[in-house]
Amino acid sequence: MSLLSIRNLHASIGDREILKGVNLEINKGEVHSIMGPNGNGKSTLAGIIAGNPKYTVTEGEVIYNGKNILDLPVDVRANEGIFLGFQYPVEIPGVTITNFMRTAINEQRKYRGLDPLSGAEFLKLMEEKKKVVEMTTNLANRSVNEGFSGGEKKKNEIFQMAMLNPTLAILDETDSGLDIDALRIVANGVNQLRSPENATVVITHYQRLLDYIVPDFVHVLYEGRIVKTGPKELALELEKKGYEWIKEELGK
Amino acid sequence: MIRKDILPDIWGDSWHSEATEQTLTVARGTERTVVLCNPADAPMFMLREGLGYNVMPDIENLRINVEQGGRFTLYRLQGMNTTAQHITQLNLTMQDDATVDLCTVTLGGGHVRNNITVRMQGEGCRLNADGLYLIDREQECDNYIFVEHAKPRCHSRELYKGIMDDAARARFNGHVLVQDGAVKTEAYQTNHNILLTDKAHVDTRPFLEIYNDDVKCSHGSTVGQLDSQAMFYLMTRGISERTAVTMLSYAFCDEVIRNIGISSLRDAVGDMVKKRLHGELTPCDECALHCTSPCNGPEANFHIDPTKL
Repeated sequence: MSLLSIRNLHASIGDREILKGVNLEINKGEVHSIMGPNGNGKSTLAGIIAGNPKYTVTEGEVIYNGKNILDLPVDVRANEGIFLGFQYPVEIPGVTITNFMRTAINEQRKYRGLDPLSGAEFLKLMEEKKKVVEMTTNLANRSVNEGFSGGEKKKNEIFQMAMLNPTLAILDETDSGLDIDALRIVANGVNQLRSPENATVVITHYQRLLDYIVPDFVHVLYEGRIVKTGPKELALELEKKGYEWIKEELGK
Repeated sequence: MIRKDILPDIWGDSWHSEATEQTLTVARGTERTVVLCNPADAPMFMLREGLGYNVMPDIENLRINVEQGGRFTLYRLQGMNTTAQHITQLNLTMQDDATVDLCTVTLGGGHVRNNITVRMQGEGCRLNADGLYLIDREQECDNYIFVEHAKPRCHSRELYKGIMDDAARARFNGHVLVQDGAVKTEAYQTNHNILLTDKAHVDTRPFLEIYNDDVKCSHGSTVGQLDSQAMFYLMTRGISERTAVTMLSYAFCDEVIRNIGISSLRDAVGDMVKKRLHGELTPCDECALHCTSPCNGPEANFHIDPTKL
């Protein structure tokens, strides 16, 4: 059974149809990359899996671990092991990262019938996971993403992923706005978290990130559909020939 | 009338008492910090010991003159019961280069009204006026603040924020008057409100009256709900809607709380606001708002219920 199975997914924002029949199968242990020009539905797909209320699903289903998750609230999906790394992480002045993560971890533990982590256990975990993304910032008194640079925000996303240890992580343009050093650190972090028990979906429109996070499959999302799927070499071909090539292949 | 013998030493001889009005002069180049509390025993604010500052009962009618280069800071904390009527009047005059920081926190009361009148009579004065009000049931809280810029290069900033639940009603009336000749004035008024129910009510009237060019002034007020993007972000990490609302409600208040300059007072006010927003979350480890001093469980029973959003 697939970890995630998306069947004939149609979705819209308001009157505008964005996804027009997406099909996708993801198994544990795999890394998938979804590529494609801007404005063709990549972020919409990520948002729908995570449960963003902004989008309306008009047709199709998203089966995760054997369950159709489309009716589940956002937090329940997260507690079931789905993680969304944001393209534009939200700044939340007044909520400290420590408080945010401690609350998230303890709510997830509660959902799984585990006791909350004590303060000391939590701090130990946090120090350990900061190393995944070479984070040196003292997070204790900093508000979530407030005043963070682009690189810090993206590192913070991967740090949260490390803390929450999801089964399915969807990283929405985690490479955007990163310089080459930050890109390497973020990619390294993601690679450290790879295991046979989880899966990662990397959304990007540049091949560059895939030099570091090597995918098992590359999908091209174009005009609301996955129009091409291939091995990692497909990304290189796209880089060389550009998306025009896909359009030509589709006869447009 | 406030009895002189209960006034702490910090007042010294500069206090002058007639009828119910207290007057204080902050002498040239000196600093004064005052914490006023109603109720005076301040159970709501846990301001018992170790604060480093004396806490006094609230004074309803205060007249204060801050002389040249003086600095005056006033914290006014109000957490009365629903039957209490409480009206305060603060008249402030500021001379050259005086600095005044005001912070009014209202966590309860039947009908609370805080009137503040500030006249900047000298040049280069700076005023920061903050307010936070969290009210519910049929409580009412009014903040009226009038600031007169009479001389050049004065700066005033007002930041008032509030959350209203049930049929509570708040009013914000901010009037900034920039007189002819008060060039290089900067004046900013901000009032943000969150209404949790259809019956909760707020009247907000930021108002600028300017008789001069060469000034920077702005005013803005909002009445709304919590940021839906931030809600979504918190929930994608597994945080329930209820907890996310509690966290963001506190974050909304934090913009005012973080300006409190005395750290122990800031922590105490922060904890009380957390408890005020507490709803039914009681066991500390499950609560989103890990207080610096543990709460006493079910006793912390306040009525603002952010889940109604």
